[in-house]
Amino acid sequence: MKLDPRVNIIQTRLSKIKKIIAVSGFKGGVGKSSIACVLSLLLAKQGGASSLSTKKVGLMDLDLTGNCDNTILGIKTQYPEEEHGVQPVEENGIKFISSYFYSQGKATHFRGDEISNILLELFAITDWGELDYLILDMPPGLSDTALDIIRWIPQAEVLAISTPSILSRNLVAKSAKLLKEQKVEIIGFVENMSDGKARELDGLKILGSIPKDENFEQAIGDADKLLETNFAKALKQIDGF
Amino acid sequence: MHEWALADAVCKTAEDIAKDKNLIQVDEISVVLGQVQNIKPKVFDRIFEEVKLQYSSTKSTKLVTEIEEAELTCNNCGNIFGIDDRTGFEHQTSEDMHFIPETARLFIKCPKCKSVDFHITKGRGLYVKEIRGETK
Repeated sequence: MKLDPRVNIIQTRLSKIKKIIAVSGFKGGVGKSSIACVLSLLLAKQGGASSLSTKKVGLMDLDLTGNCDNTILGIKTQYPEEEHGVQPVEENGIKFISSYFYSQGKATHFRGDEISNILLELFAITDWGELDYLILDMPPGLSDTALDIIRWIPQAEVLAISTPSILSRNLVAKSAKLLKEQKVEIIGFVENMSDGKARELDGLKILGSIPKDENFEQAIGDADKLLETNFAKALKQIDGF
Repeated sequence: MHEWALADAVCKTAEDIAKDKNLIQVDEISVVLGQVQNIKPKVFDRIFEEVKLQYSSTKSTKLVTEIEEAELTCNNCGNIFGIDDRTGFEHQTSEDMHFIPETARLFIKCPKCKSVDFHITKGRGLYVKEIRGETK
């Protein structure tokens, strides 16, 4: 027998989380990490579009070979604490975990089965406690991470991100079709870097659009500045979470 | 302790198997601890004794642990190598590999070709080798 016990504890670790949202871009460079981070901040500090009450929010950077949420949010904590598992770091009102903490700033060149193992480890040992939302910042594509989330966390709902580009839209459309076939709930899609003409996308609900914000780059690393950007103001108008 | 979460996963697994296999209780669990993750058997045993009381099937379970030595296989040249001297790592590196064994790729190179592209083929982390108990 060679039995991996970590799979059996994942749902216990997530049992006090009301809603899990996987922010998925499918195509790289569409702004999913920026949206995942700022959405987490908005929910934690302002409650989002449909509520004025602040929420308990967790954010997990699952782009293991390209993690950057720590940079976007300006995370200063060096290492998560341990107490009955790993305690996510708490900054800017968000509980946050990332494999970044264990990489000493090095490039993270993981292969597929290693990615699955790391995800399993993080989900098995992270003690989130009670949360209103856990935001998963997904890597591009429908490879190991996406398939593992479908398998281990079927309650996760997908927030799809697209740009107006036909390349991005095509990929979102066919990825969403596959996810629906696999019974994955799709909240809808957000058009990022929008030209103001958000278009229908193969039966996916349009939640809203975010214009390109040339000043976003200057706010990276500062949560308060991020919330003042036009990017955040546009994202705050988007309802449906 | 991060070991607490893994001991919890082991006991939950034993509990699930006990229900599935109709066991009266789980008498013994054999757990293999991988050298790369470097969980100390004494530490894990102490935490297991605390965690096992939370599950009805494991309250009197005996834990048996064994260490599996690391075997790393280079994807570039096929060289198979081990981790000879754990104490040679910086404390932080040791901690990082303790939490996420796959980070070994960030800190170790194949001694033959210096590639950073290798697999942990043995001794990664913790797994359950055997669960024993009497059926009802």
